[in-house]
Amino acid sequence: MMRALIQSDLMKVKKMVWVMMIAFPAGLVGLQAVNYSLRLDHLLGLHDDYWYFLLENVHIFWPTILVLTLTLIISLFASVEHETHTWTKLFSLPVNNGKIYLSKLAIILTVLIVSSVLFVIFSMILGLSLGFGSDLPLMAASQMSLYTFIAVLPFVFIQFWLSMGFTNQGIALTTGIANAVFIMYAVDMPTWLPWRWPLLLEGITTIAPDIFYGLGTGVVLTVISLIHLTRKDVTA
Amino acid sequence: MMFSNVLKSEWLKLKHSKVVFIVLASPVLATIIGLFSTMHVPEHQWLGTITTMILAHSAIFLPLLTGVFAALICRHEHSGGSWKQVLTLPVSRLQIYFAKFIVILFLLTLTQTAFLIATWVAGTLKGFSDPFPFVNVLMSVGVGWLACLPLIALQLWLATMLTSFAGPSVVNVMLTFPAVIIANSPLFGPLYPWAHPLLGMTQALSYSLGGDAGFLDSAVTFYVVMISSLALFTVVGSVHFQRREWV
Repeated sequence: MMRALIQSDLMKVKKMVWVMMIAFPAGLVGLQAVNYSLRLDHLLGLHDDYWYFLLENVHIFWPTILVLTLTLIISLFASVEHETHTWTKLFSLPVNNGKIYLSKLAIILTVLIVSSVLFVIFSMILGLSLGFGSDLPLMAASQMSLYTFIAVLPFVFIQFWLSMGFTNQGIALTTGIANAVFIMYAVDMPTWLPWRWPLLLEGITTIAPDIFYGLGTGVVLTVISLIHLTRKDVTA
Repeated sequence: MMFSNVLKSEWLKLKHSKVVFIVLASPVLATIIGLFSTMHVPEHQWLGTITTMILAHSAIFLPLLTGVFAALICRHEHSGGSWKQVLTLPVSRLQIYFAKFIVILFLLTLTQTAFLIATWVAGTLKGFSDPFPFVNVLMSVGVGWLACLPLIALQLWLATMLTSFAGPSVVNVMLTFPAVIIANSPLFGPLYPWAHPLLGMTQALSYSLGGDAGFLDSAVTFYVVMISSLALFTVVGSVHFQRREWV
């Protein structure tokens, strides 16, 4: 049942989603490639551990980019149903309403995970081509990527609820952009604010409480939004 | 049918789309960031807070907002294939295109005005006693408005071409994000339209205060690129809209 649902949802995925999945991490690492090629000596002088410093640099804008990516992907997913008015048809199928949302959620999370993995791979390629040696910091890079992914989970579910719940995607997009901008200014904010968590301020390889806050909030928000979405009246 | 009627119908479609929330989002967010701002300029009480707010508003939010506005104004046509219905009205396609353009300009004016008020609110809440530098912020807001025109033309073209809500914003994010880096280069910044809102707003503020933020090597390049990209995107967009086949 779930497999059939996921297969049918996969057919609806727009090409733009795949483009974003690859282009955003590639573009971000590309920006650091430009940054490094313009002032290599200056940047190498700032830190002894070249690899670790490179990971810190590529990570700076990654939370913002990840939140923008997930906002757009979720909105593209939702608009397929909104613009063709297929919600009522979907819900008249002999399938549990919750499963319809769960299959979409599964694809969205998979796209984000693949994007995070690509981000690690691209960063490794950049480090190698800058000649930082073959001693790849795969562990540190994976930790950085995984922790950021967990810490943005609350945003996934806020966007999921806004995009699927409201026909007007303007609200979801504006909220997503606002979150993405706010993350860049969240350094001085109190620890309990979710915008601070993806920044991994305790160090990009440290398991800080922020990550568990992200996981916990993410799970709670999923349950709440799925309960609300499955129970609400479907009109269009 | 008169052009004013076309405008009126665009306005009607927008009326209940919670557009106020979208117009006010950036000014409200900038106010929060301004209130927490620790940047302090000794000679000028307001300058630190206003600069922080302008950076937060103009670097990413403002360029991306043009995409949301463009998509919002085409929202009803995208769903249910009602482009064809709109185009069978006894008005020319160009009239529809430019009515949409003007409504986006109006929404942008509202956002910029709200931002102007937001800077005053943030400073007043922080208890600044010096007079509010109204003229300087107005200059900055005005140049920011001008700098968004090419982006609006491009986004409206993309919105009518891709006929999907989030689609134009995907392109917009891809082009806007590098601007954060490109704006730092005095050579390439003025050549890149997506860096223009940031460059225009910061530069206009510092220039009106008699200083130089140092982002722009040549203001001439800035305006030439702005006007020519506006002309290019408007002509290509409207011609494409005029000629394409709607299925």
